[in-house]
Order: sequence, then structure tokens, then C-alpha cells
Amino acid sequence: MSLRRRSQRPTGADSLDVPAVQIDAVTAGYGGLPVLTDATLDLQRGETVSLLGPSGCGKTTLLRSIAGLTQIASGTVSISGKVVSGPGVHLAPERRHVGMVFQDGALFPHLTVQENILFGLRHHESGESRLSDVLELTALGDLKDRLPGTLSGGQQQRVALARALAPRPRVLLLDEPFSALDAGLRVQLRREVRDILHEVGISSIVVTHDQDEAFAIGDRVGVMNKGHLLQVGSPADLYERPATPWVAGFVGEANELVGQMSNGRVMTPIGELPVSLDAPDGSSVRVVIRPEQLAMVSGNSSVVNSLEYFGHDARYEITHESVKLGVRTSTAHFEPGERVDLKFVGGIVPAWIA
Amino acid sequence: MTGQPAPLVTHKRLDLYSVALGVVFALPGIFVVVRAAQLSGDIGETLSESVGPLGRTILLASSVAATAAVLGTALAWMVTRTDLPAARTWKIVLVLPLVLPSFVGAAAFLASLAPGGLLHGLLGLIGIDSPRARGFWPSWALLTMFTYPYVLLPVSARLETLRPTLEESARLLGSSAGHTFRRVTLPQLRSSILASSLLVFLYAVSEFGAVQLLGYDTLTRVIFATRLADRGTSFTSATLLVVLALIVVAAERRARGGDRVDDRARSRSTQLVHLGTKTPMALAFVGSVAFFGFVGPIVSLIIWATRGVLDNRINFAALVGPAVNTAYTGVVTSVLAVIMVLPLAVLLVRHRSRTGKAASIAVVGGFAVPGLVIAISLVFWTLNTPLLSRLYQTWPVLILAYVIHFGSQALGAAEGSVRAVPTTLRESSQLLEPSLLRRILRVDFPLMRSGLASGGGLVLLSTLKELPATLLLAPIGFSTLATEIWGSYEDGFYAEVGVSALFLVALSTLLTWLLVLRRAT
Repeated sequence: MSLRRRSQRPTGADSLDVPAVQIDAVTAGYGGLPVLTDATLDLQRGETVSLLGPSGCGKTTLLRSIAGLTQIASGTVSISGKVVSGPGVHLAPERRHVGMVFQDGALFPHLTVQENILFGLRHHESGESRLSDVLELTALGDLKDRLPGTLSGGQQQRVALARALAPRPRVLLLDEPFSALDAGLRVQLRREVRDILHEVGISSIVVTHDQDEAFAIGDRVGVMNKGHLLQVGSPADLYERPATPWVAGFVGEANELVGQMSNGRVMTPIGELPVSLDAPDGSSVRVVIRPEQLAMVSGNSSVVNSLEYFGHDARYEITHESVKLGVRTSTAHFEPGERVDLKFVGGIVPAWIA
Repeated sequence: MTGQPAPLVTHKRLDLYSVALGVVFALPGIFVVVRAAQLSGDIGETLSESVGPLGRTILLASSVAATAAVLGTALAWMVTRTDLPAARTWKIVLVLPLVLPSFVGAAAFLASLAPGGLLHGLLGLIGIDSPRARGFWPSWALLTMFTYPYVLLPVSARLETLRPTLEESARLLGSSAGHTFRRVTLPQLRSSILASSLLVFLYAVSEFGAVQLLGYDTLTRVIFATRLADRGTSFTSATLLVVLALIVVAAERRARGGDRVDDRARSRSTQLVHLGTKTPMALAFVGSVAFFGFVGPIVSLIIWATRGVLDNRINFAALVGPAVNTAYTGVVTSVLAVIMVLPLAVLLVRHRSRTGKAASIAVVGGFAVPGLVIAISLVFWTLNTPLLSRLYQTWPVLILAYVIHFGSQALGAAEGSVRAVPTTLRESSQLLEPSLLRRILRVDFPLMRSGLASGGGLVLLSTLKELPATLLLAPIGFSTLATEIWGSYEDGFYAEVGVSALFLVALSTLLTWLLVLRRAT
């Protein structure tokens, strides 16, 4: 096994058990104020991690710290087991073998598609064959002699991806790669990009502020807010077992309720809910219920305020004892003004001691 | 009948006005060419006499344009893209040579080489005699020092609006800082470097004062020397200058056409190139540029001025007149220039008319034609037109020459001001406020004010420093600070040169600060 591995990967540092990127307790910022505080994350080989957070949360700073475009204040960044940023160490960006796709594509406007892709292949002997490989991979063959200014936004981002992949970087960083595109194209391109990343098997980090995008493209997702990396996990983990009420609300719609602990259950205004929380009876507890965990029947306790109809389902806004709640369902049909009763459908209910 | 109210001035009237304006601006150039054809008996002979000066003019102008382009671009890169200490201060200091008219710079340089001058003293310390500063090399060096800011300003503005992700991408793809600059940054700067060095070329072609003082025989010097005795040569040389200027203007328009507008706003500052151990070298470089372009000349002027003041040889009362003349002539010119070009700006921005385009070329041509050529054209035009001869050497003709020469500087700013009031804004104000006058006072004027003021300011600044046209066209006994400095230098009164030049520099520094630097920060 070890022999075979060595024959595939001559450099020991690149062996399979070393994470592609290790971010250890990294703090970074511009002019004194930390934009990123104590972030720790391992990116496994071949894995795609999405970094999700509102704008200004530090996710781009984390990406730029890996690329070497931002100096970090403390902590270490290692790529393939080698420290590239750390105390007294700052490897120049051009020597990190990191690929990056920017929000605006950042294609060189005076160079053709082909010249853009060849830009990073100057020192590669097999530049021409690599060029045709990535052109094929990204389906850009017909456009290779065009200037970036003549391409659509989606085409430009495909060229940016091709250019970043061409020199076979150790890790690929994508900074809001789809946010400059319109909605329909964005979904289509992110599927294409996800397939390409899987086909190449490259380790990658995608920064986005769009929850759908983060869940769709990432094997794991890291949620960030105010410079802190709050939780890293699979999309299902984040949705069902969020670390904090804020994470719960950021990765999807959350009805937040407060209740009292009693015999391992929480007594809330809408009834008793099962939780897996080790808290003494009588203590005050915050719980989060997803809109699809609630159902409605004709009744008296609540009133329907409004509805948004989506075809595959509908979202209702309900007032229950002066608490506003969101309910998502594809079965029941009620009109605004109708009186209903709510019931809990089931599933995991995340809870925290208030 | 559409629902739209009639505009204040119709498109057709604006067109007519623009034709008239274009004719006024083109007249001096056309007149010079016509006159040259009439005057010179043997065109072949006068042309062959002009080959030398023409060659020298082109040699000087291209050398100056090339070195100013390199120097200006290098400095722009250093102040915007490296961690040069006190980069913000350097950015301001390095623009300061603009406040010195180049003939004042030349006078200061020569005065500093004279016995008792700054350089004479410094060279004396190491036992070297002052060299005789005449001819090509001193002219080239001096003009480079006073023109590189014309490259520095637009190139650093372009560098600051360039998306940082372009350079970052290049670095991540394995390029060194140097390779990134050559392959990625420089191509984005190409058109602004080209356009601004053509401007420097134009500046050097029309330069009169500095080359006159440094004794380098360019076409302007020939025109000035032969304007009374040998009109044929004078007008032939002037014609050559007009042709040269038009070629440059055409080239400039083409260079501008190739500009790729990058309207994506920059989101954050670029990571600066770390100079490290090269910092002292870089500081020495920008420091010596600042010394030769601004500090040295100013110190040299101060030394002579102080000496004169201490010896009680300066008649300050005699300076009041020229200073007042300079100020009100400048103000009248700038206000007039703005008023004259504003209708053309409206036509260009709101109607995209062809007539407007043609008129704007004539206005830009007025800037390209050297002030000296405009002046001799107006001199002979007034003298040789029966009814107009009374206008010869009168104040209105002087103002006209200034407006023709500097009007294009107001035009650019006026177009910007008109653009500052977009159609949607005018339409929505029309729906809210029926009175046209109140709309103009409350909407249009407040939005256009700063643009118009800066355009007027540029004209004012240029007028203050103008020399050759003033020398030829000023009424008898009417002197400005510029002509005062010139006269004192010719008479060898360096102390007076120092005092009046410092006066002029103070005035234009104040204006430059108000109009250029305060906006930049």
C-alpha cells in the first residue's frame, strides 16, 4: 500500500493522509481590527468545503489568507502539510500552487481565452496538451480565440475556472464565483462547476453568502459570522443539528420558541416537543422548529395571516398566541383569515438552555 | 404636439452656435497656414531652412515625451502599488512641479548655476565649476522634470481604478511582481500612458520660454526671432507647428479610442508590493525627483529673493500692478471660457451631434496650436484687417487668445458637469417643479457647480503661467507676473525673478490645491 502510494505521489508531503489545507487558529485583519478570529478548519484531499456567511463575516479574508493575498496575524496555514503562513513565515502567493476564481472572473482583458489559460502554464513543459485538456473539460474549445470582453458572464467564469485549474493547483479557491450571474444561469453553472470539481478530484473551498449554493456545492459547509467560524459539518448536520440558534436561522427558516424543560421534553406554546438536551426540569430552553416540521388542521388556536404559493409547496404565516410562525406544507390549503390548529410533525428539534 | 415642454434652447440653435465657436477656435490655425502661403516667395527655400528647427523640435518633444512617460509611470506605480513610506505625501509632492511654469523652472535652474546660486555653491564645494547649461540635454532634462506629472496623474488614477483581482490572479498563477507588471498591469495602462505622453509631446512642441532661455533652436524660438524681420520664415515655421499639433491631436484621439473602460468598482485595496531592502533606494529616487522638479527650483528662487529683500533692492509696490493684472485677466478668461464652451458641452452630451463633434475638434485644436502661434496669428490678423487694427495689442484680443488656447480644458469639465445631471433626473425634476428657472437654480446648477468650477480653475491656472502669447499681445505697459519674471531675467535681475516667481508659484499652488489635490483625497 505504502509503496503504491509512493509511486503515485513522489513527494511525501502530498500523501493521502495529509489534509490538502490545514487552517489552525488563524486570526487576520486589516489595520488592527481582526476580520477573522481563531479560525480552524481542515480541508481533506478531494473534498469541497463551502464557506457560508453574511457579507463582512470574514469568509473572503479566510480564503485570501490561504492564497497568501492577506497576511495573517497569528495561527498557521499549511498546504499539503507545509506551513505557508505562520509565525515568521509568509510564502508569496505565486509560490503556493493555489488556484483562485474571483467573483468578477478577473480575466486579463487584453488576452484571448487561450492566452489567459496559458498564462499560468509558462513553466509547464506540456502546456499545449494541458491547454486542450482544460478546454475540453470546461467545454470552451470554440471560444479559445475570443477576448474576455466578448463573452457572457457564465462563459467568463468558465474561463476563469479553466485558467485556475490549468497549472494543476494543490487547492482551488472560489470567491463568490456565481454571484455576478443572474439566478437561472447561477444554478446551471454551479452544477457544471460541481461536476468539474468532482471529475478533477481537486480539493476546493467555495465562498458564498447563498445557503442553497453552499449546500449544493459543498461536501461540508462552514458557517461564519462576525469573523468566527461557528460550525463545520455536512449540510444535513448544519440543518438538523445547528450549533447555535444563529446558525439555525442562517441555514434555513427557523421558528424560535422558548419553553420549560419537563421530563426530557420541552413545554412550548404549541405543545410538548421531544429534545435531546440534558437540562434539569423547570429550566428555560430555546428550541428551533423548521416550517416543514409543523402542520395545520382546521381549528381555533391560530389564525392564517398570509400565504406564499410556490407550486411544489406553500408557506403560511400563522399567528399563534401572538407568536408569528412559518409553516411549509404541500398538502393542506387554507386562505388568509382562516382559523387553524398547529401540530408538530416530527423530526429532530435542536434545543439550547436559554 | 407631444407632452414635452419646449427645451430652453433648441438643438438647431446649439448647432449654429457650435459652428460659430468652432470657427473662432480654428481661425488662428487656418489664418497662419493661409498667410504662410501668401508670404513666402520661395516655399522650398524657407522649408529647407526650417528642416533643422523642425528636426530639433521633434527630437526634443519625443525625447521628453518618452522620458516623462517612463518617469511618470514608474512614480505612479511606486506611489500606488508599493509600501513606499509616506506614499500619500509623495503623491502630492510629486505633482507640485505643475505649479512651476517651465520657463520659471529654467530661469531658476540657470540662476542657481550663476555665481552666488544654489548649484554653483554646491558644485563649488566639491571644486567643480558650473557647466554652461545650453542646448538639447539641459532642455530635455528640464522639460522632463516639469512634464512627468501630466503622465503621473492619469496613470496613477488608472492604477487606482484597476481591479486588484487581475494582479492577484496573475500572482496566483505563478507570476513574479515584475512579470505581473509587464504582462498584466502595463497593458491596462497602455492607453492612458500613450494619451498622456502625447499631451507631453504637445507641451514640449509648443514650449517657448524654457528653450529660449536654454538656447535650443526649436521652431518656437525661430518664430519668435523672425516674427518681425522675416515673416515668411516665421509663418512657415508656425504652419509646421500647426501641422505637427494636428497630427498629435489625431493620434491622441485614436489612443483614447482604444481605452477599455472598466466600470467595475474596486472593492478593496490591493496588497502592496513589499519594497523591503530596496526602500532606501526608492526613497532616494522619489526624493531626487521631488528635489529637481520642485524643491531645488524653489530654494534657488528663495535664495535670490532673500538676497534682494535683504539688500532692499526689491520694489514690492511695482509688483502689485502685475499681480492684479494676472489675477483679473485670469479670472475673466476662465469665466468667459466656461460660458463659451458650456453650450457646446450640452450639445455634445445631450444630442450627440456631428456638428458638435466637429466643433469640439476645433476647440481641442486650439489647445494643440502653441500659444505663440495663436499670438502671431492674432497680431497679424488685427494689423492687416482694416477695421480691426485698433484692436492690436488690446486687452480683449489677449483674452481671446487665452480663451482659444485654454478653452478645451474647460470643455472636458463642462461635459462632465452636463453629464452630472442625467436625463432621468431632469425629467423627474420637471414633474415636480414647473418653473424652469427654479429647476436650474435648485437642480442643475448645484450639480454642475463643482465641475464647472474645476474646469474654470484649470483655465485660470494655465492663464497665470502663460508667457509667449502675453509677451506678444499684451497692451503697451500691461504686464503680468509671467512677463515681469521674463523681463527681470532678461535684465539679469535674479532677485526680482525670485520674488515674482515665488508670488506666481504661491498663487498657482493655492489654486492647484483647491482644484486638484483637495478633490483627489
